[in-house]
Amino acid sequence: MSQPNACDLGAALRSLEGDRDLLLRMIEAFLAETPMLLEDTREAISRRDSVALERGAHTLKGSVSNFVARRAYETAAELEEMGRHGHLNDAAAVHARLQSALDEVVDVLVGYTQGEPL
Amino acid sequence: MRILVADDEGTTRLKLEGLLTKLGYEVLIARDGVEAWEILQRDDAPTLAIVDWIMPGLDGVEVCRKVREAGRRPYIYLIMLTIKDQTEDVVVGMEAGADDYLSKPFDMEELRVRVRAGERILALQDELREQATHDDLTKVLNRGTILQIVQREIAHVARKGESAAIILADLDNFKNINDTYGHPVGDVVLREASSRLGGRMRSYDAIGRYGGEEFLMVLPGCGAACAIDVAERMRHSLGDRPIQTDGGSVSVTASFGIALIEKGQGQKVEQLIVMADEALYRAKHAGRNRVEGPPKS
Repeated sequence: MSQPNACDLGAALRSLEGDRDLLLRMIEAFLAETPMLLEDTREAISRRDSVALERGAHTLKGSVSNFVARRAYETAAELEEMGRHGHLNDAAAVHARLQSALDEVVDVLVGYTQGEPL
Repeated sequence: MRILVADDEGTTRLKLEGLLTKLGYEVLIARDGVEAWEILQRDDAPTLAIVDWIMPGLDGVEVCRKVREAGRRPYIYLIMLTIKDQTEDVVVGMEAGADDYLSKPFDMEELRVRVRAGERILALQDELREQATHDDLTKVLNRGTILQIVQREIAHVARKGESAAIILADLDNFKNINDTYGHPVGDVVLREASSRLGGRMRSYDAIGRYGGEEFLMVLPGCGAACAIDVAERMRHSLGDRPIQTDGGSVSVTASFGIALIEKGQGQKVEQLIVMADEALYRAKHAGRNRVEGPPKS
């Protein structure tokens, strides 16, 4: 069941001046690279590598911002902040929240590629 | 115009590439900072780059710093890609040499105005460089710049051993033209004369306005025979047909003096100019509208 509030594809499309084709290509790139980025941050947490966590979370934040995915964005920002300050104790829990926020985003994006209306 | 987009994150890279292409730009892509720096060092590097703040290998800030340290010309306009609400990043980036910044998520309109602003700055830079190196009236190189080219050519000959030549040309009786037709016509004559002289040169030769009605040409790889040949063609280009002006048709000739830049002579710019000037004097003395080469040794 897709969460329509996970991201705002209408706004994303407006930022592209309505170029659906470009949006679809961006979604494709996002679907291809997000699992890897998410895995990198998970590994960073288990290695307690705060620099890698900060960077990985930052990249994810930039990536989801293109789809106006607020919850995923804010959760990634939270993780980035933890990495920056080296406070990794609760990072695994936040990472789990990021994972679920991203799952919702992915659902909406996949739905869009399969022709679901915005 | 070509623009470099450097971002390790594919979604934003595609977005930038797509939007910039729609705006009519040609886009080059770098997937990390090292690749970006590699592209920006090329001779034909794009003059505008949009560089992500955080990238593996080299960060955007480091890329900016390296570009500015290299101090390369033409100027490269750098737009730093950040994320909203990270103002401290913007400050650090601009201090490292970024000209502007763009926050993710951006839209088409914001991208368009940022890139336009960059284009305006680059156009101004071009204009300033043109003004600093060219003569206002004739649009050929100015005195300082052509003398620098002579200096560079001396160094080149010393290194590579090929000879080169300089030609000093002086319009004959130019004062009479100004006195007879007035200065506005004199200006037209100077412009047309410099354009005819320049039109007889090879693409890698250089021409500058040395003084009032004196022009200095630098001919890399040219020996005495070659320089005489070029100077003769220039002489004909002026003398064979008059210059049409609002004040009537004006016949103009010029005299030419040649000096050779030779390896192992330890020549200085001033000496070469004196040598060319002596040859020019001989041409004037022998009746003007002539080419005189270096003295036979």
